[in-house]
Amino acid sequence: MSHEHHPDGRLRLLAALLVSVAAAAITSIHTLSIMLLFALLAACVVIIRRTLSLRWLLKRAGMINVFVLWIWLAVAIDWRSLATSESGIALAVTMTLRVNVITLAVSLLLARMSGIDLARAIMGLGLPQSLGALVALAVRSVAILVDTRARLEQAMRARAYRSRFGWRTIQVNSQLVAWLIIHALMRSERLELGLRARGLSAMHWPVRRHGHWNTLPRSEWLLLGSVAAAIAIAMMVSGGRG
Amino acid sequence: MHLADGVLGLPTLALSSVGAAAGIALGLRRVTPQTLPVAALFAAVFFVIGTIHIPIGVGSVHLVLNGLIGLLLGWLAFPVIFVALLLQALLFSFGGIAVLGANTLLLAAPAVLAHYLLRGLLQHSSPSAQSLLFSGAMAATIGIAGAVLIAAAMLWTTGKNALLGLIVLMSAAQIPVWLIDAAVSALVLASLGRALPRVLRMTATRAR
Repeated sequence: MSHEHHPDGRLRLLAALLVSVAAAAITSIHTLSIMLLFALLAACVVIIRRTLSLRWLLKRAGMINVFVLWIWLAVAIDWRSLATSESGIALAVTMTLRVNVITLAVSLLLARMSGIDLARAIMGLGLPQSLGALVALAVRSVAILVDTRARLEQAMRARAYRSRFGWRTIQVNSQLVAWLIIHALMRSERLELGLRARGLSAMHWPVRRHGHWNTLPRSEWLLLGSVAAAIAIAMMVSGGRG
Repeated sequence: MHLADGVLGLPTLALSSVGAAAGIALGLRRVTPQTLPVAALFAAVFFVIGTIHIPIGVGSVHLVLNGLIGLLLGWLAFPVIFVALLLQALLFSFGGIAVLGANTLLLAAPAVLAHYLLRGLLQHSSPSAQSLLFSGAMAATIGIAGAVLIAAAMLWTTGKNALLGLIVLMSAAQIPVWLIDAAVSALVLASLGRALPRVLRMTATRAR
């Protein structure tokens, strides 16, 4: 989505942080279940409005639930007696709900923010200018290095390299990493020289300034309010049940 | 290696976030107009490295190389790793937002330790191939072992005995990661020593 659609991501980032911290703090399975239900409803709305694709969301949920499977294997089963434990299952359920609530909510809230939007949002929340500049420069550099890596891998394949377990794979990937580091360092020197030549400094990387909080669109405030209300309703409806 | 959002309890998350924030603040004090582009490019390198998979049997492991990054960057490793993890969380759902501080701390703290323990070996005018191989392997060992220990401590404070199984499983899963990281870090450092030896001295002195 363009900057015109998301001119300022501060409130979305705050909403994502609010959900993440709330879910981490809540231990009630009922509350977390209601929060997951809200997140699923929001996902349905987003998918029906075709703002995000179902396939993309399922892929994200699938990735995170591979980790959840490990939690179940390690926490819910007592491997000495080969039996399930009631407290272990309760803990695994809590963690499963938390992981899915946070993943779904953060995906829905931040998925369409670009890296630069994110850097601006971070700076807008009062974090240091140097950190915002670092995020902005890193986002630009990722695209360059991903491209460099793709070209190197193409060259490796042209020389009949196939990735399989063995010393050769480790050697080839080490060369790939070494070249990425050399490329990064040489590029950083060129970048610094280029900025200096133009009388600029990387410390003041031009990231657009933020407007005052009260200039933010009403829809963004509504979104933050809805997230806070959903958490509050989930806590009230469950009424402290475990 | 990442801990996912939702696994750690709030007190652990808060404490680790404070630790990570302190490390990031110390790292940002080393950021100058000269080091900022290096830090940004290294954040991008760390991000890309996390997508390189080495096949093992039917599965694969991805490179971490936090020890190597720490060895080269010192305290700058904190903001660099934070930014890379932030981008990984947003673009690939690796880790998460709330757990960002914990993941930064568990990867960056051993990285800085590797820097202080091993940086002397990089400051020679022409370090030998053996010392580069040794430094690389040790940096990876400190990086992975340190990360496992900190992650285990975080899980222990969250769930005590209930999470013991997860701690054991997580630690065992990191053994192949450690072996591969050690081999790759050693070879990368040897390659850097051959191709661009000034990089080793430059990065080691720049970041202090």
